[in-house]
Amino acid sequence: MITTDALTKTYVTRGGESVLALDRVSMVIGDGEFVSIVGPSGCGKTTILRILAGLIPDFEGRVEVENSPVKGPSPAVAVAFQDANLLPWRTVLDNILLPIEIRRLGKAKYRARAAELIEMVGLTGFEGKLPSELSGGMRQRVSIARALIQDPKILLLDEPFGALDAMTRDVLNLELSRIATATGKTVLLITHSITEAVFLSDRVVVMSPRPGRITETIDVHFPRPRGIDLTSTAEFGKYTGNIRKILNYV
Amino acid sequence: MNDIASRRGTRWASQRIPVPKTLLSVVGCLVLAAVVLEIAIRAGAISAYLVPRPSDVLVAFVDGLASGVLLYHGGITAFEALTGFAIATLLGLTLAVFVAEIRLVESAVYPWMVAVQATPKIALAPLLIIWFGFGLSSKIAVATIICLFPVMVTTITGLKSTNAGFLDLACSMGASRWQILWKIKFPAALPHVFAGLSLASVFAFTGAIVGEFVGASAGLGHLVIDANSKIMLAEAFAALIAVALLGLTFFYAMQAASHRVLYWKH
Repeated sequence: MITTDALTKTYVTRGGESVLALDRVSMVIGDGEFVSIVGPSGCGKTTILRILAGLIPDFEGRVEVENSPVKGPSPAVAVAFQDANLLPWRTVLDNILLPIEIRRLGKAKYRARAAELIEMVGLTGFEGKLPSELSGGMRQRVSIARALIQDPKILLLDEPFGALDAMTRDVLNLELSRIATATGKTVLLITHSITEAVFLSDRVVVMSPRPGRITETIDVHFPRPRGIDLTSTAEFGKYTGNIRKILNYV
Repeated sequence: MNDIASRRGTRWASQRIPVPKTLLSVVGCLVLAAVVLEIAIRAGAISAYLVPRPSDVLVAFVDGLASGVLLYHGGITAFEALTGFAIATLLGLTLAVFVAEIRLVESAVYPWMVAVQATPKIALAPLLIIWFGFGLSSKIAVATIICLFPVMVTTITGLKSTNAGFLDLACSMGASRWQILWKIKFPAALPHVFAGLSLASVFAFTGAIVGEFVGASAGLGHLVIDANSKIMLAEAFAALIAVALLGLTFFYAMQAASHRVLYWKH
């Protein structure tokens, strides 16, 4: 569960000006919910994610993750970034086991789980490969597996498929949908893609340009599991059209 | 069809012997230069007082190896250079970590390191002889000082240029500063470190020889000075060739080590 109450973030620029990046953002994301934040560039959506990940220590308002205030990175939260950020000197398996190493949980105990995750993201047979031997899509699969290895309650995804081509992106979104449903994680996805947001989410949060405020929250009522055909239905188009209208209106 | 066959033939040949081919061209170049020089000296175009005949140098080199003189003095120079290199590597890496990680150390120590680097090391060599004596330690000290800077600067650069995404990732996993240093920053800096070590591997021999020039009773540098003073140019050249071969060997050994450690770069 994620709660933000009047989350406000002010930056001080190099010139000494203070810029309001987030203005009283309040939302609650329940256990097992999949929520996406869409909004124009610079609306502060990545700032929200970084605050939740414990990467930005100073902010105003109340921010809670699993019912305790965020004071830094928490083992209950895992992040996947836009760049897969795989350490190039580590194999796929060792990259996936990195969080276990960092948290000193005993790598040996997690080998079986790593193998399961590698299978789940469709990379069986690539355990011993180096990142340089993988395609962009495969690297993001590893990044997702790495985020899941320590069995976090919450998955924060910062446009993980943003740099991929459209076809790879569709495939990975399908898999992400399947994985999220199967594992029951609470997911917060930051994205530029309205289609992606509607396809994956239970709720889509639409944000305004700076200062970032929540303009509207839209519930998406499609049953799961969702197939890619869904994106070409009229009702799906109504959702995306509506969000597009809100974004243009602001 | 003939054309295709011959083209296929050359491609096959070049694929089969790529390394000997470059080696052959390098050795061929050397042999050609030696032959031209030999003819020029024998014909009287170059005075034999200034440049020894390559054949004489070869004889002096083989004699030096056979009598063990080159091996003995080469061994001493190699010991000085490698010890200096090793100390500089340990010291350079340690200092680099402190400079890169602690801002106070950076502002306090770094300018001094640059000042030492800006001073010509040859100017320091006589002082080091006074401090460390005429034995091996003064030469090791010169080699250390010469090697220290490239190792340190490249390592600092490497440690400071870590991909910001890697640092975010490590922070989000709750990594400690120590873990970030050893699991992320240091491995990521290794390509820089090895660039510095490659430079230092060549400088190490320069340092040892400079130290021996200033005052020594053994080592290839001493041999060069000694042969020069007796106007035994062939022997001086033989010693110089031995230095060059040692430096070359160590440099390529470093390259090989770098290739192994940076397996993920290739």
